[in-house]
Amino acid sequence: METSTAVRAYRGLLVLYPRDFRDRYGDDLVQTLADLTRDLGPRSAWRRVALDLIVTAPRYRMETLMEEERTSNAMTVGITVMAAAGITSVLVGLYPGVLLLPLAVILAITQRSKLARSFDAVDGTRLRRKRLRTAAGLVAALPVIYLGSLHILGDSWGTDAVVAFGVWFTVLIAAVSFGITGITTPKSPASA
Amino acid sequence: MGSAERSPDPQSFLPLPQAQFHVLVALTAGDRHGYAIMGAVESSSDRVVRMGPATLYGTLKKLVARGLVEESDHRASSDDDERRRYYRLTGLGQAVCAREADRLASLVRITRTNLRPGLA
Repeated sequence: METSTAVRAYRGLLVLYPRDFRDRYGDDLVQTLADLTRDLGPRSAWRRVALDLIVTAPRYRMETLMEEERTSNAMTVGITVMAAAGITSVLVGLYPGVLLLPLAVILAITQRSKLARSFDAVDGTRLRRKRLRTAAGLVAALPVIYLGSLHILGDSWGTDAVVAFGVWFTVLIAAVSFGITGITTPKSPASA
Repeated sequence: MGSAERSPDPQSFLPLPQAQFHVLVALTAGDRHGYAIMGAVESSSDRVVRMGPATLYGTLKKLVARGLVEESDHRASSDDDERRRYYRLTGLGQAVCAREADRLASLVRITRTNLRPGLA
């Protein structure tokens, strides 16, 4: 393969990497292939580059996916849903549902270890502060919702009361979940 | 209020992944561009560690993000390709590299002490 064709082919293959990586290092990667081709010959250069591509492309894709803050936030929602479902199932008598609680804890621990490895993508300290602030806001909302419900409902304790309790309970679960994930979010080393 | 940032503890970066330590060691000799780092890693490891381009730049990306390495304006010579990016150790990078070297040296000492009777 001629060098220019090889370079074009490699540049095309860079699409397998996450966008921010190829935008930042695409030219350097291509330059390195050219250097390797010059020093080792095309066959050895391509062997090394192909192996590298096979190993790193899925890994960098996965790292990007797991390290992004939105993925982390999605996991927080997952923890919240699991915790809520676990507690609710116990309240309504479906006791095996309590198993969802340890699953929520495992998810929180997994999230913590993933975050700890991803400080190049996530500012742990900022994320921790944001989650704890959210938890504090939700805790502050609890008595407001409770007193507001009492005021609105008055003596009527029908379907509206169930809805009000549902809202209060959901906010409680969210506060607990944000509190747990906030406390378990590790601080970035730079500000630890 | 004081706005001075606290410098992170080098110990908190340990243990370093092998690829990151190799790159830091390569940069202890001075500023280098990516391909030169790749060559230095290869020769310092007796050709045992052969990095591919994406492994190298993925590692550099992480080291830059962690504040251990930074880009430099250094050029080896005036006719050096100006598109090449050079990298150098930061002060923190030097400290972390030294701590990791101490840690590994300590492991080597323990290993030699424990295995010496068996090797004799």
